[in-house]
Amino acid sequence: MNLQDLQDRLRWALFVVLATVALLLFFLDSTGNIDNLFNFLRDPMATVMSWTSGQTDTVADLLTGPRDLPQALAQIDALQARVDQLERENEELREFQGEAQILRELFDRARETPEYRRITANVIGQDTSPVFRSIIIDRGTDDGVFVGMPVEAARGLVGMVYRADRQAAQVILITDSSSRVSARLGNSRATGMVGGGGLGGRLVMEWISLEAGVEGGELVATSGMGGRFPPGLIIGRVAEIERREAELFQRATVQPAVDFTALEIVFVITDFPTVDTSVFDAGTGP
Amino acid sequence: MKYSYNIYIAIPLMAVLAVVQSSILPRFPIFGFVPILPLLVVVAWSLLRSPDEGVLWAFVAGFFLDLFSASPLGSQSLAMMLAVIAVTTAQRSLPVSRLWLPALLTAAATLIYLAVYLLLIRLAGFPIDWQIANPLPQLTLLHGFLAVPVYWLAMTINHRLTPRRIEV
Repeated sequence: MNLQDLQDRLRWALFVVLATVALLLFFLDSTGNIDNLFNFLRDPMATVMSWTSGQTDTVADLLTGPRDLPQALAQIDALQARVDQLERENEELREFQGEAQILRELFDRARETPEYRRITANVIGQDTSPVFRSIIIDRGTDDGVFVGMPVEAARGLVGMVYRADRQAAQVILITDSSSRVSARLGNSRATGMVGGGGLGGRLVMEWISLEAGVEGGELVATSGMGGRFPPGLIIGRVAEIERREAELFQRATVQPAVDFTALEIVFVITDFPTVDTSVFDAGTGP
Repeated sequence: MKYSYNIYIAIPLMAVLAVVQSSILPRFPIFGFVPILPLLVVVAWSLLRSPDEGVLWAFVAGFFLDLFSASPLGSQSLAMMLAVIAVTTAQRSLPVSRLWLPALLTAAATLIYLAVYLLLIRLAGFPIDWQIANPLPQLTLLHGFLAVPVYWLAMTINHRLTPRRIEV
């Protein structure tokens, strides 16, 4: 055996060893058996990511800010004019304040969901894969964040916790292809399943009854069925409806309420009341 | 096979690149696309050094990328290793060029990596909406363009790391 043959054999041996290790990791992770390894490796890196993410925000703000002095001066002038206008409007609004206060209290009372417990989390990273759509947040099991918890932003539903380490968690977005959320339409009250469409960031609501008169612009919210998400979390609005005579159901393209490319802070819903279905689990058969 | 100290560089370097990939690059997309920086670095290094080092670097890069992804651990390692093996094998039968060859092979590596990766995650049971394949040609093209500066940078570093031979 000459030196070249030996090198070739060693090369293939290395590839086989590494490929075997990768396959082993692949199967162990697919079956959820290496969570501890994830905790051990990702927690220290999540700390670095929190710092990096903060610095990136600063740099991004600098890059998107005014580039030169004349531009900055023009912006100051424009802002001064805006301040003047807002001050005038402010005076007018004070008159309505008393009335608005009463309305706001009514609105808050209707909106409040004291039965939900939420914690705030910063988005510190996004999925490194070009196929998956997920984000990494700076809260983990130490903060009470666990797999399966719903995550929302100020504008609506974001996704669900997919992996949770001690100091960080991965949230699979509702726009990911693997995401399915039970949803209800605002006006027609028809139900269906909202699924993600991957990279394009689009959402599709399927399994809507053909009898439902779905309209464009209709609000789509979680139905609460299945118990994974609380009811009433906004998902988006109907952008397009597809009705085909040959099919038993209709589908709608949904414009997400949340801008997933600009997520900075999210709320993890750590607790919400679910319907007790344990009665169906017990031996109810004859 | 001379791995020397390069594996000790690969581990921290790929850890840093994975953090950059997850927390910085998504804020600065190029024409709406986020390049996969560790893949570019791994392919450039493999073309410059050897398939052995390339495979080792690909394994490490994929491992760290999977730590910040919803994909199963090992999937990106496998995809990247196969891509490296394929392009370094092809490199042997192609004429030497420092400009178009890295660009072409990086684009090819991107396609192989994505194809294998999609297949693996499908095998793992993840549903795939095949519309995600639509922007992948643009991503491949972008990688082809970015390969040139990355390759040049890797070549400069390689020159500094490699001791020069003097014939007596």
